[in-house]
Amino acid sequence: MTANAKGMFVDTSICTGCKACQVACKQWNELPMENEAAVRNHTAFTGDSYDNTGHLSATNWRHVKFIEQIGPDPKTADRSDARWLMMSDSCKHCEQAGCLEVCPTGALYRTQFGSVDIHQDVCIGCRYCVGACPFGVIEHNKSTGRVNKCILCQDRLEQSDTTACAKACPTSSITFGNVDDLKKMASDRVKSLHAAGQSSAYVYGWDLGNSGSINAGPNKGAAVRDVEVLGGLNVFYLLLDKPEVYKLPTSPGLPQRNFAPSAGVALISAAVLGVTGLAAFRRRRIAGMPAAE
Amino acid sequence: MPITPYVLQPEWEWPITIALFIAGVAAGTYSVMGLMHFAGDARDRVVADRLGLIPFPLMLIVPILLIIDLGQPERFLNLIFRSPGAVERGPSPFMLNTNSPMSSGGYVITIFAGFALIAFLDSLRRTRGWNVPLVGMLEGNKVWLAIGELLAITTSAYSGVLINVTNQGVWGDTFLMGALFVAFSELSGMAVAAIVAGRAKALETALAVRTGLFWFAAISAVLLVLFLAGLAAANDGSLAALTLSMLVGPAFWIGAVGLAILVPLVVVGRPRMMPGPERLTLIGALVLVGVLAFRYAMFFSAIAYAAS
Repeated sequence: MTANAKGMFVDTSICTGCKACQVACKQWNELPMENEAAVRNHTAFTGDSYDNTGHLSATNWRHVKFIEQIGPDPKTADRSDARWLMMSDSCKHCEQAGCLEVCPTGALYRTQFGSVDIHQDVCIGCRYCVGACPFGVIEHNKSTGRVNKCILCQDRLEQSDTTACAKACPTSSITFGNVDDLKKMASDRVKSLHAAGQSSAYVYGWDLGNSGSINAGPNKGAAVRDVEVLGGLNVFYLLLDKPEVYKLPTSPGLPQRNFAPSAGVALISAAVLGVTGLAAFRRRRIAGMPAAE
Repeated sequence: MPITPYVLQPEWEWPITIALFIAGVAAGTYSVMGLMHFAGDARDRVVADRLGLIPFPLMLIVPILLIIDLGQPERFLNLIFRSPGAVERGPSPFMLNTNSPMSSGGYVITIFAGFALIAFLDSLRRTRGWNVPLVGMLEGNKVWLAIGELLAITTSAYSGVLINVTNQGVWGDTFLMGALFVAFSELSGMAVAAIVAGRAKALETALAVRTGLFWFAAISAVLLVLFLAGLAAANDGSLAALTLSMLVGPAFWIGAVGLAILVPLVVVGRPRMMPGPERLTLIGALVLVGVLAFRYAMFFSAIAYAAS
């Protein structure tokens, strides 16, 4: 891990879904509407949820997820277990970043703050990084021909400022700081929530040794524990339900896990094919068919 | 399970599919030509010389398709030469990321194209009597041939390993993609040899090519079964996406399984079905169509997976 790595701790237990972070991100980074044509015909938003953008993309670097858990049967009047989970999502700036690992041009790079940034003047738009990110964060921007994602407000950090989203968050759900300090803060927060009866709380991104059980919603009673992901996430989360409920992978992997085995097995199969092919030509000679010359 | 349904699409579609199919055919053709030089005899010379004319023109098409598919085509040289902006990659003028199959593959394809050029010039020298300086010196040089074979095989494996090293459904579920792409590439090379041998009426070469087609199809079939078993074991819906979706299922079954594998297996298994060289040409053409369908099914399977 980069010494004094900067990152963000996102405490979903106090996120109110106000989207101030989304707005601040769009504003600071001058990101356009994802689909400007859709704005004109009033179909730009999802329309079926307070989750208005639906996903992260090349122009949505931050996305507030609304997870609506309305009990086992929404048709019945029983809404005793109803709850909304909110989560402000972005690039996690993984310690082992698949996007950075596969980039063939050096456009993706690790900054002095431990975050993953993109040299826009180097990116060729090959899109290899898109398929490498297990979170679906980085996306190809068709209007520029390059890829985009959250860059942890690199320009603000260079001025010793915080990220725009963290600064705008009215409930301190998003906290910016040194990752080591944030990990301690996260662990303390999980322990205080457990003490207050919220046993669902755990950390997604680092294993800080916490464990509990979900106390509401469809997964009530299921055990949860801190999850370390891809060597640790510099932007990590306090969650109140299983990772898949937040559309987060439980155990994502680096795409490179397949590189050596794939190349090795390819080489073995090539050897088998080569021997077989040689035999096809040799056997005819052995079969006693003399050369015509 | 490392594969997740949240991965976005890299949108590698037709230009990439066609480019890497052509690169596979070029590499397979070069490889089969090499086999003829290593294990064949004077009877195979006519076909081997004609095969030598094929890989280089194909390799000229490949970069054009790959470059036009880039979001920033004018920057394609950043793959080989380090852009001044990529300061974190050190002072070297070259850009090589050994963790990235695309980076190392770019070098392999470029160098293989050079070998294909030499084979092309050598074949021109033999077939048309062109006097190409230096090329004649490499005639019969087994070390040169072996290096060329290795590069051809690596080019064959490249696109399979490339998509294997992702988190996409189907693509990243097993580590057999590289092997599978090598097998189908070699099969396409043998199919080209079948077409050339059939058209040249090189009956004795055709005999060996038929045997090669049969065994290459058999090896491809074994790898395909192992691959499908791997997808089934992954249990993430990738097997259904590849084999049952309307987008790629028909191409997979009719093209990859039917034309590329069953046709050579059945026809060579029953020699009476194929008495003349015209049929061999037809079989070669059908196998090539099958290999293209295989490439299509594999590249578009990620879209089918995401849609499922």
